[in-house]
Amino acid sequence: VKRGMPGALIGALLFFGGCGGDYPAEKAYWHYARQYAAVLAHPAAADVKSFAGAVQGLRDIIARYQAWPRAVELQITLAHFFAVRGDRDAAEQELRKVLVTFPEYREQCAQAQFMIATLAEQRGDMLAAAAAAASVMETYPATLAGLQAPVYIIDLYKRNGMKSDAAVAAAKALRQYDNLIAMNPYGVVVPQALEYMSAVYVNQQRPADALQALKAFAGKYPKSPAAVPALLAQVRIQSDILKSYDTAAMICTQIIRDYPAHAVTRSLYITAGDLYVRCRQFDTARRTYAAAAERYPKDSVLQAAVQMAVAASYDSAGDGERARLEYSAVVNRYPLSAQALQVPLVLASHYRQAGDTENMQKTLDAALVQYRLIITNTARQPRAADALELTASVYMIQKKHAEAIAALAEFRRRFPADMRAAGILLKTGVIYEEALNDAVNARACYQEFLQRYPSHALAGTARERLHQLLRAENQSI
Amino acid sequence: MNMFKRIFSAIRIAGGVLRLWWEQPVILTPFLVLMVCHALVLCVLFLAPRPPISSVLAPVIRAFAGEQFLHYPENFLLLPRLFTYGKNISDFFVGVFFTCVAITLIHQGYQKTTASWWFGVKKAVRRFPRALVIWGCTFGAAVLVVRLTSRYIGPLIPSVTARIMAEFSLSILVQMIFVFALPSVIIENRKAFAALRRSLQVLGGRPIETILLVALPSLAFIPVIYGSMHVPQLMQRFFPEVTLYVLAGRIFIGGMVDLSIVSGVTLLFLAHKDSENGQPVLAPEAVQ
Repeated sequence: VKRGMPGALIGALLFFGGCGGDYPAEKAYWHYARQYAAVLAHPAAADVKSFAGAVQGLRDIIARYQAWPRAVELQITLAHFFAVRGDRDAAEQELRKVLVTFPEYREQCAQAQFMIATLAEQRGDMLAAAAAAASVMETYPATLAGLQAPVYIIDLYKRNGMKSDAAVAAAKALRQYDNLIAMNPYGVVVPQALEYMSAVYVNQQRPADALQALKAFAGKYPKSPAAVPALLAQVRIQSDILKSYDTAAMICTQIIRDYPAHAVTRSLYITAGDLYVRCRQFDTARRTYAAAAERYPKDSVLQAAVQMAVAASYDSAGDGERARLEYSAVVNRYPLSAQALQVPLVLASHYRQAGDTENMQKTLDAALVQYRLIITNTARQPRAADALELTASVYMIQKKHAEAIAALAEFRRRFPADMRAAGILLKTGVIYEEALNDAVNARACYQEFLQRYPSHALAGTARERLHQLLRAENQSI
Repeated sequence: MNMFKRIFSAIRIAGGVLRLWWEQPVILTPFLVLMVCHALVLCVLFLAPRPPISSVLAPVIRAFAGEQFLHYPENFLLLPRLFTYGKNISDFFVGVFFTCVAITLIHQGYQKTTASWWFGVKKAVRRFPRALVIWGCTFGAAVLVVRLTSRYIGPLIPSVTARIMAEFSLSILVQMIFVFALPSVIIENRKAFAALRRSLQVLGGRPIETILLVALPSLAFIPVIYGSMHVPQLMQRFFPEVTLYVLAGRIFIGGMVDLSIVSGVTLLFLAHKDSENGQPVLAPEAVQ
């Protein structure tokens, strides 16, 4: 044992030391992103030294971990850095590196080529932009950027007042989409191709042609993975553009009937019912909801959604009394569902609309008790997070802003890793700023937000609000 | 025996434990080996997202937890839970065995004979199935009590920390009930369920000493529990690898706690056995 132990230890160390893969690259990038969070979030505003450091850091990671699949994305990020600072030549140079160094990543290459087109447009060279965009579709037809490029070209011509060229480009785009779909109707990009094709038709004020093309595809290739997306695209055109809710609902019913095992079918029952509600066919809507409940009796999430939809249908029909009963059923039958937590707020808004302040307050107080119970009983589960967020909403309705802030703080303390934590911090700042006129705490919240979540989608809003506060302070001084 | 005599007796046992460790340091080695095993488990789980280990563990993690936990830094969020599972499995196969070896070594040390690993291993192998049954009973009872508590009593306790501490205290209580069963199997060669009865009998005769010798070392585990509860916050405040420090602390403190409890309880068991045989309580030289 004594002789074997050092050998075993050395062997284990060598084995563990030899474990690699993409993990070191992920780690290096994470630390890089943490160090240069501000530059990554706002490269245009970064000072020269930080920007140079960020660029060098990114170049080091790309060079060191070239086999890492994300290296190509980082190369594009590098180009983006230069582009937002107005250094278009450097940006284009970095993008050309994508085409040369990572030719096997066709999607990213198409994206890089597309970015080269937009850079040419920014330089004012419209023809070069159109040519570069056209080459995206020709070189990388079965990529997302390749599908987007024709739409971009049409838009480019339109923006420059070249309507006839736009129409020609649209006709060409439709032909290209047609060819791509005909070449491989079962391909993975076909759903997107159909989507862009119908967008071009709609853009050309030809929704009927879009519907015809989509219908033809779904009829000709019913077993293609794109058949259901084609039908769903028809639903969207019928409901959003033509406002023909009953036809849209019928297409939903057709999908439910023809594709019972498809992933979207369950939620389509609710969509179909909602569409019937919009065309005021309440009985048909409720029959559709009932069919969903009957077909998926063990899906408690769907059952709760169905019950909520039934309640909302009575609400839309103006039968407030029955709606309240159905909302109560949501709470009684599915007390821990997301819908049940929403019900008190819906009921309170009903009472508010009816001017019944007393019942509104009672409902909100009861909701607070219910939420607290859920928070206590479900401890660290997501439902407790929902309940905490709604608690804050109730306090906001009751104008108890300090309590709302306390609930939001409790949310952040208990669920720091929750996706909503960033939004909650921003919301806290907004309450301080707008409801309590407390600029100091609001500023602290916005600053903390920008420090913690520099690349969050709401970072722009936080930055804007912080700047407004700082401007207001400077003016008052 | 009155309360003070019992406390004094527990202190003498603790002193005896320290003396035994000093005189026969070989007693520490089973726990050292166990700590190394736990460290290896931690290494393997830490390296689970990387090839070649990922070829075995990544599909399991992907299926049960999700793809994101195979990437930095999210892998550190899952690591404590994975380590708990890994540690339980390693305790079942390796931990029970080395605890049996340790009890044999302590018995030999108590009898003032030279502690022999080989003798301990042979004895542990023979009695391993019975020891596994006892470990299973202890673990099952602890899990059952903690689950029932968190389900029925937990909602009545608003503070999460207080609830976890209550569960921890209950698991110690359960451990106390079964704590003399393993020494009984190893030292007295009893069958598993007879050993469980014997454990209750010894606990009934020496409740205060047992509480002191089991609960006091277990208190060292509180910082570990606190650290484990706040891993996400620590990661956010410092760096993701802080999870490894927390788990390494858990291995070290857990090993020390196990060492103290097993040594103390085995000596208490031997002292009780001597007193039953008409010899003066705590008479053997090892604890004098």
